[in-house]
Amino acid sequence: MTVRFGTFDAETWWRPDDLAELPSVGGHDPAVDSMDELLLGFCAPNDLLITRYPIHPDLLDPRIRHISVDDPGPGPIERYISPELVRDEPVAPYAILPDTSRLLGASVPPSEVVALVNSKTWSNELVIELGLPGAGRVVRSTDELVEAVTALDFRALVKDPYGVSGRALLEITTPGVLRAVERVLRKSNLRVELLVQEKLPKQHDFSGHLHLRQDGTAEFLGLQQMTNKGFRHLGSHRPPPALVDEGWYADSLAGVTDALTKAGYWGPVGVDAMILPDGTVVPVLEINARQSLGLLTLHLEQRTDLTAHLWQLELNIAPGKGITDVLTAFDGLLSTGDRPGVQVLNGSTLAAPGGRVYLAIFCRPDDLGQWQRHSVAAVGSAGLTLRGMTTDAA
Amino acid sequence: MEIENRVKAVLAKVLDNGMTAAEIGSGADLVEEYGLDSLQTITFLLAIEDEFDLELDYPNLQLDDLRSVRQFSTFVERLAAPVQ
Repeated sequence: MTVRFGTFDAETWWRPDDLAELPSVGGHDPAVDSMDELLLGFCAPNDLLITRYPIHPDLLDPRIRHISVDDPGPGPIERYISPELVRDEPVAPYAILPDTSRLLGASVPPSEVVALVNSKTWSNELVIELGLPGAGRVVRSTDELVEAVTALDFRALVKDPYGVSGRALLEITTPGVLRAVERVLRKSNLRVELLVQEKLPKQHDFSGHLHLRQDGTAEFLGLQQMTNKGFRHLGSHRPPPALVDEGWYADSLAGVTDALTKAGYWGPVGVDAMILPDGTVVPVLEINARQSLGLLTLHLEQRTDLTAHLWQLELNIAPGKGITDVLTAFDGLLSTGDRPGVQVLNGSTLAAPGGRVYLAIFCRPDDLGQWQRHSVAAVGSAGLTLRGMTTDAA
Repeated sequence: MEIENRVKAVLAKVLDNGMTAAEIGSGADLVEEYGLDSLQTITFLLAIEDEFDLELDYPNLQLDDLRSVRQFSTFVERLAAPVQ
């Protein structure tokens, strides 16, 4: 029995308050608060899942115990979990925040260490130290930012060291955009720490997942090929063997696991990587020292003889509609992995004007496109519309 | 009209999904119909600043009032107008 819970925008709680932010719009996205129901995909029978909000009964597996936090206040869910629930039980939090450390003590790595190794500044220093391709430059002032982007001839990606979804990075392609970013940073009067990388011509994105033990040994769990829309993660699945040699990639992460152990981290690790058109592998783009959606897909795959694909639909939701309508739309297509089909993984709080629903598609590798089209057709016939995603499904 | 066409050209570049500026509807909702996400929205706004040589006040921007190209173009026109 394992107790599972966690906060999906962990980076928000790792990010120092005195850091200047890249220009962004909108504040905290409340939809992120209910993403913890995706942890259901990690659960084995008898596990206890604790979520921030109630989960729709049709999404739940009766073999898994579930409770939600009553009347959660502001801040991460870890703040509202009773120590009684986690005492003397194996616990697998999504990420280690300061509140997780307070709840679980020395049974997990210190949150300061976890915050450090999740920073893009730390991973970039490691890439440089290990002599790996794809290193960027950390800039610590607005002047340095201007200089670094100009030196790259405006083929630059600028990343926040603790980028939260939607405000993690910007592509700077013209002097005018750089001027706008420069103006926002100077106006904030806060400390600048940003990673500037050359925008490389990417062919494929993939991630490697492992479990790092406290003694420094690691179990490599597998690879995930990511589907992205621009810079946004749309889903993932196990890549074809020809994409990258899994054994070679696992070996190439030895320097990363050594550095994580030396820093004092143990637990789940996901490393984002990419392949360039000439076949060059950039093995470490980002290190996520926490659970991740790629790891979730690997877990989903363990429950099926088929291939598990994680995918998402951005839906417009009319007033009065919600997850029940989504589940009804998939009637006849639903599966828990025992046969080809779709499992709806989240959406209990889905309401007008819309939101994101994650799906596990269980099918043969070559049938993914067909099942994506089935899914789009199913929600369409139920009167739900997609947010600008129809071309991605084709 | 010229401003609206320039806004559409900027949007087409940000969407990067094969849609041309001419195919973008003036009244269509940027989020619901074109799926503009938060990262694309900020990329679009920065590109608008560049295209029209404007300065946007990000913290106080009311994006709910700027859901279509037409609404956005009117907003840009107002900002770009010389102060009397």
